[in-house]
Amino acid sequence: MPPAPERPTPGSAMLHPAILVAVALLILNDHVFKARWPSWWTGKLSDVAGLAMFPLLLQGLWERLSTRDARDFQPSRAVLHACVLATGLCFSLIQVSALAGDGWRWGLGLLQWPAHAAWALITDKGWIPPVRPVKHTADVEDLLTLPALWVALKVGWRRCAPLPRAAEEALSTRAA
Amino acid sequence: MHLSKSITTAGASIRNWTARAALLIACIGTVATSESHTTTTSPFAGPRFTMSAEQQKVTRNVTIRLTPQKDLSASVSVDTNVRIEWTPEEEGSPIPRFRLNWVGSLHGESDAPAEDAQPRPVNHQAQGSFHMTCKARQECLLETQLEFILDSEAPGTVEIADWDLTVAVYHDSPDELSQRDIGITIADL
Repeated sequence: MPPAPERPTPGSAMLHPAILVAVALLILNDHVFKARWPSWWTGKLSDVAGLAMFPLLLQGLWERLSTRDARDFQPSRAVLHACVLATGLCFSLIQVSALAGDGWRWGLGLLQWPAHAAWALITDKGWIPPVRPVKHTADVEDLLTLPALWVALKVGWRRCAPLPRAAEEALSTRAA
Repeated sequence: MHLSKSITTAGASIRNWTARAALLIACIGTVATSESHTTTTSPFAGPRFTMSAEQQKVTRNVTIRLTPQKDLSASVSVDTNVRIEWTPEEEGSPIPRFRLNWVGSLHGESDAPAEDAQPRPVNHQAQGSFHMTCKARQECLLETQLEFILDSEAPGTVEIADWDLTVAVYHDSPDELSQRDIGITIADL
């Protein structure tokens, strides 16, 4: 008898190999590849990796915040669609609108500030840095990376599928 | 049966915590993607000089000049590195205390605490920060003073062997600011 599939848990979409690879690529590209090999490709790689994983990160955060009993948890396709749509819309807006781009720069700067402030305190700099907006270059060409949302949609869609009856029964038996 | 159930529960718990860890790493990875626009100058080296009990304080005027192409709001931080060498006149003289002090615009932001000026090269650091708002194509000046203070009357000399300033400008402009747009001048008072 084949092993019963794992029941999804809140945020478990982030454990899919494709999403783990996307997160690793995002971090490596931003902190290593861009500095070593600055090019058109490394510029786009972060967008692709970010779009592939960000909707599932949003969905995971939503699931963590909204789920009270993880035993009866079932991921929602409506939430998945909303997260994919929101990611695509926001990403497109910051590439075409200066106002949205500024919102992104200041918003991310605000999220980074606690870490900067904590570092200043730890290293005894004696002053707390102000909120600093991050770099952002609006580039309509970046919209070419939008199809990477399909990865998130595909992984999320399969995860949201109800388990086959046999698998449900196997899980229930195992839990009992 | 009980063993199977506890293994299942442990597995679910591990999966649950792994998912949390993956979420946390992805959040950090997302937030840490972009940095602020920062332009850092090459270290500006100041001239060598000597201090002693007769000259316990030396002040240098430091001017930082920004000439942005567009209106700019920026915070400026100045890092100072000083290497000093203490040469006592007599064996067993008390080791003097040495400190750096920013006055003027950078006053009170961060002064390096006084440290022993050992009879060997010792590095001191100080950092100051200031916020400035500059108009496009106009020279924007930050005038301040850096004081080198010797808290001692011990006979001997303190050689300020090397000292340099590095200016970092963190700005909110979406455009890059080249090092050419930032200038530092240092003058004796």
